[in-house]
Amino acid sequence: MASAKEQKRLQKELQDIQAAFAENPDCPVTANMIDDNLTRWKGHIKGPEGSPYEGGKYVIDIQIPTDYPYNPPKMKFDTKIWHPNISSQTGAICLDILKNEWSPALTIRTALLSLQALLSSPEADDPQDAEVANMFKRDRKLFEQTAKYWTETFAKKDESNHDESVKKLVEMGFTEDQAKTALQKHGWDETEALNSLLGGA
Amino acid sequence: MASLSFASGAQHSVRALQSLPKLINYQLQAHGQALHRGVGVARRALGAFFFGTEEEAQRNRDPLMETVTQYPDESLWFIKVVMLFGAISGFVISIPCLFYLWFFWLEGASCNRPLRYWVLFNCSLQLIQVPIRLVFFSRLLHVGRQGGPNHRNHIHQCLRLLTSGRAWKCSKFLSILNYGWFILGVVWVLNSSHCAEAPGLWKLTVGVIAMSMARLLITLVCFYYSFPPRNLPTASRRRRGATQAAIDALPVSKYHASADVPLLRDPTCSICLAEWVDGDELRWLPCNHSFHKKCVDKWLKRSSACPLCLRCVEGRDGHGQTIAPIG
Repeated sequence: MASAKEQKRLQKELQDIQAAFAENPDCPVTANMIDDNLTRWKGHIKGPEGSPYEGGKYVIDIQIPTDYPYNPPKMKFDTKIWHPNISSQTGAICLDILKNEWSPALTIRTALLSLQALLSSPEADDPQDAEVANMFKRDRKLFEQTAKYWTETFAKKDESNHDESVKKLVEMGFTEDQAKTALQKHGWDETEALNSLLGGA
Repeated sequence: MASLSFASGAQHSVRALQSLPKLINYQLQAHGQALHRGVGVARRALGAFFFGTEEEAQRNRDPLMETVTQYPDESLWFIKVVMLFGAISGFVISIPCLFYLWFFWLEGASCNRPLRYWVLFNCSLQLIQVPIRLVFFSRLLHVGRQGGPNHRNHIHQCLRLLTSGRAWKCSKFLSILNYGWFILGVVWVLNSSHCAEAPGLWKLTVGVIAMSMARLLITLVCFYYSFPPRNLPTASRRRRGATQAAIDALPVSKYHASADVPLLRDPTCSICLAEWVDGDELRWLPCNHSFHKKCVDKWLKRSSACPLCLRCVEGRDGHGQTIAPIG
């Protein structure tokens, strides 16, 4: 368990991220915690425009180590993605700032923004997934097609579910805004969102 | 009549004799096919034992696969070497031990710890692993020889199926069992006080334990040399923390809102993200960045790089320039 000071930092990070999201719902990254002791978060990244991931919504699993922020958060993709620096099997990420180049001045938000930047500019010379990296180097067209296909198949399917979840909650008598905020906060888990709405009412 | 029947009998047997080679040939063929089919079934059963299905591979979460996706060639080499080395050394160590036990089994009963059973079980575990390891080795050797532009994918796919197969899990389980047994052996050897009738058994057990340790060490060395260290120069420079003396040499000041405002655009500590309040102790790095003393000292012990600009606080690129503490 992190010390009080580190807990405070995590709380502040969460507030900042959610404040930014409330201010601008179009912001490219957001995150919410999924347990009460702040050690497990889910990040959400929008696929950058002009990349084969455009239009996709990616969920990142974030685990906060006990000595955060002196050690980097552990991040991996929950959503399947075709990218040279991300394992197509496990979602493990090869990004220097999540390993050796971490600095305590970085935050979950900046790390997620770096991930988004990584989606726009893959580094095939430092691959996490050899198969994808090979394709990226040898046949760029095929790579982009595959990446787009994976975006369509894995990163867009949640959207319709999201709409349905919102609709369900609206049918129960909540406003669309309330439903969206609650769902967003609870990683689009309908039951948890409903519980929080009922508890808060 | 009799002669006739004899004649017809003879004729019959002659015909039978004439068709004998055909018959034998046919029989052989039938046998061959059965044999062939038998081998086919055995091969398929073995294949199912050694290779997981695509489905199992999907669910497979062997931590080794992360390394394989990142360094297919290096992983292939490493696993190949470890398998061959494990099989050979297991065989070479176990066979003489079993011979010793065969000749001195009864004498071994005089020890106050069951060292003979330890050696026997240890050798059995090793010997069971030998064929499994050899099959792994030959598969990997085959994959390694394929070459071609796609060979990294072949390696990846082969290891993916191999690590999700039952044989791999079995081998892993046996290795863990062997490791536990090894620890038990160390405890027994240290506690066996008299082994009068079989002094050789004690020495043998110590020898086997020493060999196991040597094998472990060699495997580690192999691992170290198989995988290239990444970005070692920068990583090691930054990974190394600053010495306490170097940290203590950095200036410290007390924060006063009025005095420091012009210098600090954003009066928060970028490590704990808390705003500074009057009286907080600040540590100043040579690059003019400042943090809570407590926050940054903890970081500097791990890495000598400034959290904001990554410049080293000590050594040649620190410039040694410090500004006078304020307040």
